[in-house]
Amino acid sequence: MSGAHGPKGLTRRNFLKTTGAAGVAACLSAVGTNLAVAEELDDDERAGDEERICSVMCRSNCMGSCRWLAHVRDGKVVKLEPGNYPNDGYRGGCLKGASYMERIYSPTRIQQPMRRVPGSERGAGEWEAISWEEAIEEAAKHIKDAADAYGPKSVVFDASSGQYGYMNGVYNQFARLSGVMGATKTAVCYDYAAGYGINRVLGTGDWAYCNEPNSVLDSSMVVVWGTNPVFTAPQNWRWIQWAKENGTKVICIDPIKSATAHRSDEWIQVNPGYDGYMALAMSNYLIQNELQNLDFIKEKSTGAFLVREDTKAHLRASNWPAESAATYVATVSAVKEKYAAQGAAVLAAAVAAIPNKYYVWDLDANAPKLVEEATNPALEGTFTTPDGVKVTTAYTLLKEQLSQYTIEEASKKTGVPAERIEELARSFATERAVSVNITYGLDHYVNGYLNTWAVAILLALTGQLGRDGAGFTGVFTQTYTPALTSYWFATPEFKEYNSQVPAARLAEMFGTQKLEGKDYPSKVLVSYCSNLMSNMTGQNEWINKVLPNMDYWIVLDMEMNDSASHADLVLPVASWYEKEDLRTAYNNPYMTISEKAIDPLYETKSDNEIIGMLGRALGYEKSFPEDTWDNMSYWYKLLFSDKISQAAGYTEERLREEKVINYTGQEEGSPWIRGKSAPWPTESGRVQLYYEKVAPRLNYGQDLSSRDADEHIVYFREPDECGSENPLAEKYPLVYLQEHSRFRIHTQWFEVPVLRELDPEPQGKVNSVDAEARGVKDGDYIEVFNDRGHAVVKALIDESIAPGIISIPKGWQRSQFKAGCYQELTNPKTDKYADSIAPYDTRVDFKKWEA
Amino acid sequence: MTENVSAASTAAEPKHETWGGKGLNAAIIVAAVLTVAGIACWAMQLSGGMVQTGMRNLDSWGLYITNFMFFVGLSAGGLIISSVPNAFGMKGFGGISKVAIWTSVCCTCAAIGFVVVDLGGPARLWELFVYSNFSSPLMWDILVLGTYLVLSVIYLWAYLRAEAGRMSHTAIRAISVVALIVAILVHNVTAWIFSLAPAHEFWHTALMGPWFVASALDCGTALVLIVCLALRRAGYLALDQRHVANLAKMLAVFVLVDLYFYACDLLTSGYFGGEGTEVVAMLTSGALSPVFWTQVALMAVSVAILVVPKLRTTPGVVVASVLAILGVFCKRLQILVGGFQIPNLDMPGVTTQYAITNWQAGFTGAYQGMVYAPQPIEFGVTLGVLAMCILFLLLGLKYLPLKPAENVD
Amino acid sequence: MHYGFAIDTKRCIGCHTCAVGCRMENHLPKGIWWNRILTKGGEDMDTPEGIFPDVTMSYVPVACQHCENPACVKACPVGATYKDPETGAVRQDYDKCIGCRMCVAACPYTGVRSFNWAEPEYTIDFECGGQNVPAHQKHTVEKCTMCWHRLAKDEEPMCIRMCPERARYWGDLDDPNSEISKVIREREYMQLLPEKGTKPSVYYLV
Repeated sequence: MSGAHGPKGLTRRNFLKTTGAAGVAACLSAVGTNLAVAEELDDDERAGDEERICSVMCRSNCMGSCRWLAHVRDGKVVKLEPGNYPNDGYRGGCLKGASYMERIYSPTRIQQPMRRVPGSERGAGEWEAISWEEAIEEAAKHIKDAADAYGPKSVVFDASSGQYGYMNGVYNQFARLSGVMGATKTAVCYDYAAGYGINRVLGTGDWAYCNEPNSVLDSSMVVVWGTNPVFTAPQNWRWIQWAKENGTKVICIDPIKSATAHRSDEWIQVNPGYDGYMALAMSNYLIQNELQNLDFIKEKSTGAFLVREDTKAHLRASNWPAESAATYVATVSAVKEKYAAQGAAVLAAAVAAIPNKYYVWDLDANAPKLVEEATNPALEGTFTTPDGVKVTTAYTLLKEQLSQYTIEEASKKTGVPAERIEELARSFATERAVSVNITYGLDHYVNGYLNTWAVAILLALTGQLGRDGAGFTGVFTQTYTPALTSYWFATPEFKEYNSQVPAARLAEMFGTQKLEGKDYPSKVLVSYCSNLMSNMTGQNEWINKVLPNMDYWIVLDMEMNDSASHADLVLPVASWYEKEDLRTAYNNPYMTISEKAIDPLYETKSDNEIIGMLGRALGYEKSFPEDTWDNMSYWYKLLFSDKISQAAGYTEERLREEKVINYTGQEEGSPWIRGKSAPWPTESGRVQLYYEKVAPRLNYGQDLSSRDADEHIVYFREPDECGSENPLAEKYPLVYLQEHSRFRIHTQWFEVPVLRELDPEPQGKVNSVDAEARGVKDGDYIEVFNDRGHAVVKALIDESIAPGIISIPKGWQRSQFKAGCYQELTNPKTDKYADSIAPYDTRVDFKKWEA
Repeated sequence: MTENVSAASTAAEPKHETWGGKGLNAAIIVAAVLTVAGIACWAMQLSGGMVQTGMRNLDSWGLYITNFMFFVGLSAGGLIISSVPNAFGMKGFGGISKVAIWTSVCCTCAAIGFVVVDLGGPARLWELFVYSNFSSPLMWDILVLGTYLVLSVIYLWAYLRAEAGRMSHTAIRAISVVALIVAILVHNVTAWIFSLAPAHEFWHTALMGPWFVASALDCGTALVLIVCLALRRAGYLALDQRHVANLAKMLAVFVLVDLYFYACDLLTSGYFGGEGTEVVAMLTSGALSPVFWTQVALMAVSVAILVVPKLRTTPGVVVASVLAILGVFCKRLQILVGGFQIPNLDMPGVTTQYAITNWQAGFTGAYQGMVYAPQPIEFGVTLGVLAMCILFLLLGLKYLPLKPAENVD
Repeated sequence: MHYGFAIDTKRCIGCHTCAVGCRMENHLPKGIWWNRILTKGGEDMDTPEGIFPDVTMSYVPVACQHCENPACVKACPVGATYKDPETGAVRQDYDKCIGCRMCVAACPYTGVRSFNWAEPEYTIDFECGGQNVPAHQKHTVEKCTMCWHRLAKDEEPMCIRMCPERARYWGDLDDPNSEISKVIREREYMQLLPEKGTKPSVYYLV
């Protein structure tokens, strides 16, 4: 074998090298031919004899949403192939989408409602099959009992990203059920820190900060920062690769030489958890060397806006001068009175619409002037208004803050040579258009939102935003959302629900029946599109706190994953292609119908049908009317009932006819650019160098008053555990990364036989240096451990992994380990601003496993 | 056996009265039972699937084809030994010719048996004669092996006719020449099964043919020596120790030629570097080195015994012959496994239960030791084929007039 | 006509989608892969060669090379593997195959052929995948058919349709205007084991 017999690979085996007549450049014309714009989709041409073709949509949480064609023969899905799009560049899914048939026809699929055998332990695997009538009756009884005894908030509905779609997926009618009950509907806590941090600059909320994937064709440089699209988002990498072939430089920043790093032009190896520091040091370097984009900062950012020293707020019409402030207060009261009856959302929108302009310091007038009126706004400086308010420009505050972040220190913390950091910083300043492909790696640390906030500031200072090819890419989310509020809450029974409870705090809630020190009785948990027990960090928290203290757990799923296997009642749901749905895509610009290709197998039911049954069993017949519940047209009407949908002409008929509708309103092939295709959704319409109204992502009674004052200007905080100078490093020298593999999406596809042939069992990828130090050989079983738990995995010696790091690909279930589970190890801490899990902020060690 | 006995037996009368008694019948019964057991194993292999063997996609042949090569060698060798004296009019070996031919026939049957048990679809064997693809070396081998079997039987028949005085010595001589050519051909063609395809560096050498012939000669000679000495001891035939000594010297030469060919091949492969060097490394220091060095040692000791007159006693010759045969078997094993031991595309990929014998060790792990290891069912089937060969041999000895007749000698 | 493949190794990310697509389309039994993605790098799949951080890794998808001078066709004693004169595809007739595995031993491209060592077992046990895919038989040799059943319907092989990175080209090598002929003309390429003289019809663009 290769190891013993000299060098490996193709060259050894004498590939014949032949040079094509024309060089590499000539081949690039081929790219163009791939990207034709289709007049219409030719689905039916692909059908075989006696085959029916259904347009379906893969809807897991890879942040892609690929269209597939399901070939149906004799009531069975016999084949899946990638479906066409008007823009052909968006055609093509991955091996998970390609193997979805093995999930539909999985030998281990849950076929009928299952009840834990009374008296058996949770997770013991003792089940009895029951009828749907019994199942719904039992579920309803437990929900009612808890609501009656402890209040409706003690019933917790937990959803996650296991299925996108308005009818059955994460946006399904459990929202309505929560609303009519007044229950708790948890807030998802995965991957939220990235968007939360960026929102502080771009105002783009949790998700809407990325440009369309094809925008990278206009980039002169793509920086893939802390993410690995080659594994996790091949449908996005495709565009980056095409850009690369056109001369775009691709740089990957990652602690390990990821598959993406292997395919990039350059790879910058960083120590985990310090990306934010590096971005701040780069920003500082650019300012020190006058490489910042002053035009952008002046015109497009809030750099010149004034910040009051006293209140930390911007100097605005609502607070200055005194008479203007008084007028504002009066207007707010009037608006509140007028709109109070129309609900919180409407009211908030009305208040937000009250004009509240910003002041800058006009050097010509040497006085504050409204932005629109100033002729020569000062970008830098501290001033005092005639009435004695001390103000400083946002840019000055930022510049002062940044001055503490030096290249030298960044180099020390990240391990990247100082010159390399400087060079990277300069390229942000000098490249025509930089796209930062970010997704979520940077946010998987307790300081995650600070990392992404810092990167956003770097883009703002260099003006790499709001232009063709400039900005963030990776998680382009829909620019259009149907009328969900009407869809969910158009019922007289609607009350309210608590949507502010972080799912990451459920262990605490069930364990102590308190949240943030206040009583919060938590009794019944209903999980859908979610595998909480496997995805949530610090699995033993769940095992030790939740399982013993929970009255009842209902899980809707297709497979006995960690959550389902520890539930009390498992309701078998139909697969994606056994029910109809509507999805507005991520990472492509289309809204698509996912047709019902086949009837639900066995006794499985669509999520929507289950919700209807449960709603009625709970006594909400009006909100869950049996006669219209399964009528899709009824739902489409509601979803398309808003003005935007109607103006765009979205209807059920059109959707059924066209299957795929571009929702961006852009010309086909022209990418949606945040800040260009629509203004920045910040209050000022500008990119924010100063985060004025500090607010956590969720409000659940947490006290952040001691920190609020420091959250206006970007800064860096050490990661919780993985930092190189963390005292824990001595005991647990390895940082544990939970890389996302190409074989699973979170925990989905964990059971799929064809993928298990490619990737049979949990592996721990380590550098040979760390393996040898522990006497471990390739293929040995190792026990990875820390104070929180352990996992036994097969050692894979992988020189792409940096010494000091162990990577265990995500998604395995407890039953697939020899002992323990990889999720026992992860750090359960979250930051109370972002409330997003931090699995990478974890230290471990490993040793050879003695069975 | 002792020196005493063997020395005495040079002049001793054949012990006719002890031949063909209960011992032979018992041996026949044992062989028959083992043959039936082997057939049962084969039935199991066919019904339960060849997944029960150690063979897999990346090492798609195993013990059966090793034995096929080995038995073709034994059979060809036996016939060569019996026909050379006739063909060239040499004296002294006539007495053993019939036994040697019959041994050849039995070994040919075993060789065919080993090919058949290796087939996935033995029920489709008829296709070989209907859809024959004459560009396939396997097709050539089947034709030559068939011809060879028929010719061996004819040769034996002619021999018996000649003994009965119904055929001229010239005719025998003519048949023996044809038989000799076919015997050499059989072995050459078997070599071509391996050497004509470019797939495996170790196999793709022009020397493979002559080398197979050399191996056939040494193990054939050794087998004839063992059988004849055993039969002499059993009182079945008489054999002059002079002839034994001559045969023994011939064996030494054949073994040396075999080793010489191997040395030539290794030098040519390894001298310049490149892929051939890998083959040499695999044999001399890699996964196959235990088998390789065992072969070299066995053959070296065998030659030593055969060339040193003091050691060339009857037991010495038997021991040397056994060592030579074992050596050749080792070589067969090296050839078979060695072909698969170095993958042309040595890059790791998906490795399933059908990919390679030790698939659970992963692609790299599977090549750490010998890439192929036989499974119990293969030993069972092999034992069955072997038993069948012995059964035929014994039946022949019991029922066919194979005893030497003076007029031929 | 001479159909061939070109695989752009700069685009190939080793994602196995073509291989999984092949499995599903041809309804391959458990454990059987006609199309395998090999890692050019270290000793395990997806590992690089070299010492951190100086490491490199790429992928080589390998299936039947549909050689112009196929060693397997010569080796098969009953003509169960043969070259289709119209398309150049090397085909395999399961009904004829006697399971001697001469073709497996003769083919230099390690592992592109697989023998059904047991009665084929399927995760999905009804007939699925492409139409007119011949049933898999125990104890016969099989391999990539170039999706013969799809060619018959003027469809491209499934691996071509599946590749999410558009790294695969397929077409008529005899037609100088075909896309594949163009990329082979314009790009540097390599072939697997050209010294074996099999004249493979698969080009790896580098």
